[in-house]
Amino acid sequence: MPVEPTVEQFLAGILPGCPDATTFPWWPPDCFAVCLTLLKHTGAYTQLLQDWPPDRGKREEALAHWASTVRDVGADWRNALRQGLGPQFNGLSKEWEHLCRSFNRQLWTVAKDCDLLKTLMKLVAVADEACEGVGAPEDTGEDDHFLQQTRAFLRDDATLGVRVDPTRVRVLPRMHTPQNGLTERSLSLYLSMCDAGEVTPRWLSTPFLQNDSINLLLIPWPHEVLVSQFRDVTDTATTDLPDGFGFFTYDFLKGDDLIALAGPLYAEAKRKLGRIDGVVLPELSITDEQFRALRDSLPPECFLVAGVGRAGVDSQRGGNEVRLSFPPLQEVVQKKHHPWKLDESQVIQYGLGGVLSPSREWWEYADLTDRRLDFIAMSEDLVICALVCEDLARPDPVANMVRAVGPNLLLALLMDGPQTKERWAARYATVLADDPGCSVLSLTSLGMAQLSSPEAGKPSRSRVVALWKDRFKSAIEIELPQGSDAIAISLSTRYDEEFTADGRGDDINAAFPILSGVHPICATAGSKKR
Amino acid sequence: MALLTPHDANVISELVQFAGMPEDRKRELLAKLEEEDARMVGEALLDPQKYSDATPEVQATVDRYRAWVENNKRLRRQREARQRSGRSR
Repeated sequence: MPVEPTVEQFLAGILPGCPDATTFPWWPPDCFAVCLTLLKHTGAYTQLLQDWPPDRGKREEALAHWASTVRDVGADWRNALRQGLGPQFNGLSKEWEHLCRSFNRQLWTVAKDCDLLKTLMKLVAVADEACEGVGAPEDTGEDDHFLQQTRAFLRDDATLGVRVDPTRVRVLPRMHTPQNGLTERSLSLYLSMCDAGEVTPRWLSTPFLQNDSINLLLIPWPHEVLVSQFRDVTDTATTDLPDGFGFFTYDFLKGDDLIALAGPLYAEAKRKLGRIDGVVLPELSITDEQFRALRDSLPPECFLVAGVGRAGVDSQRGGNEVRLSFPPLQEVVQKKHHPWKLDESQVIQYGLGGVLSPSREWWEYADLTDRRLDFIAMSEDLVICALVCEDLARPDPVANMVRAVGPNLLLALLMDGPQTKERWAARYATVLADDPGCSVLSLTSLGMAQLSSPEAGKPSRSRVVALWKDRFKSAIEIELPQGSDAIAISLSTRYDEEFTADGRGDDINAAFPILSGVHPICATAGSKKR
Repeated sequence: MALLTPHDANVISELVQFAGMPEDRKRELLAKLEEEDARMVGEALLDPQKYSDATPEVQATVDRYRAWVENNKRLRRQREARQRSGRSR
């Protein structure tokens, strides 16, 4: 029978050197990771929270007392860190000693010791409070040692942890705390912990000038997709497949129609809304060459997020990636993580039977190596990340990291049918809007939406090219009216208070982009009016 | 606008966000910049003379970062006001 490890043995895997290190981990993300790992592994936080807060019954307003105590100790810790005096902070030495006294106990006994659980919860909560604002590109105007170090660790190591083993656990900033359910994610406002898996996160900062609203131009390009753009490449692929399976690639049509269209679209959207902050295009909408031309045609203050692709040629796999261009930050590339698999029903749905047999299942022949997830910190209210199609639906390897961090805005670039409320993208957007609280925009091309046949007996919704979902309202379908080429949307920020499961609030600082305007854009409209 | 690698963009962000840091630490950060354009942006941020001598692209990047700092200050004031109202409830 396997021997249950002791607390010390368990923590030695997370915090190398732990057996000798009875000194308090004065770097809050380390303390947070160590204690939260214990609470999570044993599941003991669920037990603890059944009788919460501590001293309930002995004291009036026990919950408020807990929250204010934790906040005050966190503020003291933060002050010490700000001045470079972290090692001297001793406000939690008793709690740490309490944990150290349990090092020789077997791990399973942790959940039985209510006092130890309270101690662990306090260490987690205070470490979290000490890290307020670590994810935001906040301007303190001060010589703030702590924030500078957090920036450096995020930049260089993609984790806020220092002593915790980054091959086991990553500590990242958090923008949202789930307000439903009960997981370890419910226990913190400012820090998140995720298993160090195969996805490398990048926390990137760009000087985005945030106004009270953000205006985005959504171009559901291409406006036409041909069946002949899908091609069987099974015979030239470097991977053998069993009978019944094949590889397909997607060819791009030649021509610069998009570049000719984008300028007038941008001008018209700007004429209507006064300012366009970003342009978004769907999965596999453009080539590298088109991306560069489009980037050059836009002013530098306008960001560009686009699905860029390359067809597979001979044995070389195709490319399918999202490019994020937020000048002056150089564009960053995030490859798609999961291949699309077309089964019989999808071959028929998109009418691809003339080029891909419905009797086989077809895998996308694309290079899916080098898995990354980029978080673009634009302001303290706005951290964006983008996912490509299938990656929205699969919990591994990326969705758990998205849930842990809770970016304010998630852009899902799709090559998909109409973005109606009933379809899969809406389901997954709803999940992420609920936990952790992301606002999600999905966008497909008009060409793919039109290629998709409606279900028997149902009307075509082929001009519903985008879908918006936030925490507060049900999903909103965004339809491209006949005669329009693109859609400009406005996003405003709604602030709400989020609470941890132990009862701490964030003072109404959780920021949620909400949809506050939808405007069809026609490339020729402006010139007619002018 | 001069474009910066993710690494250099993050270093420049630190330079502008913590304007109160000692000069030697600013120099340490400058030394971490990897690309020539980024070094010019960093120098121009810290030295008005170098800003004057810089190319329009470098100046545009510096201007952008400075505007960002002001933008972040505005957001910070708004946040602090929300915190005050939240805590007074």
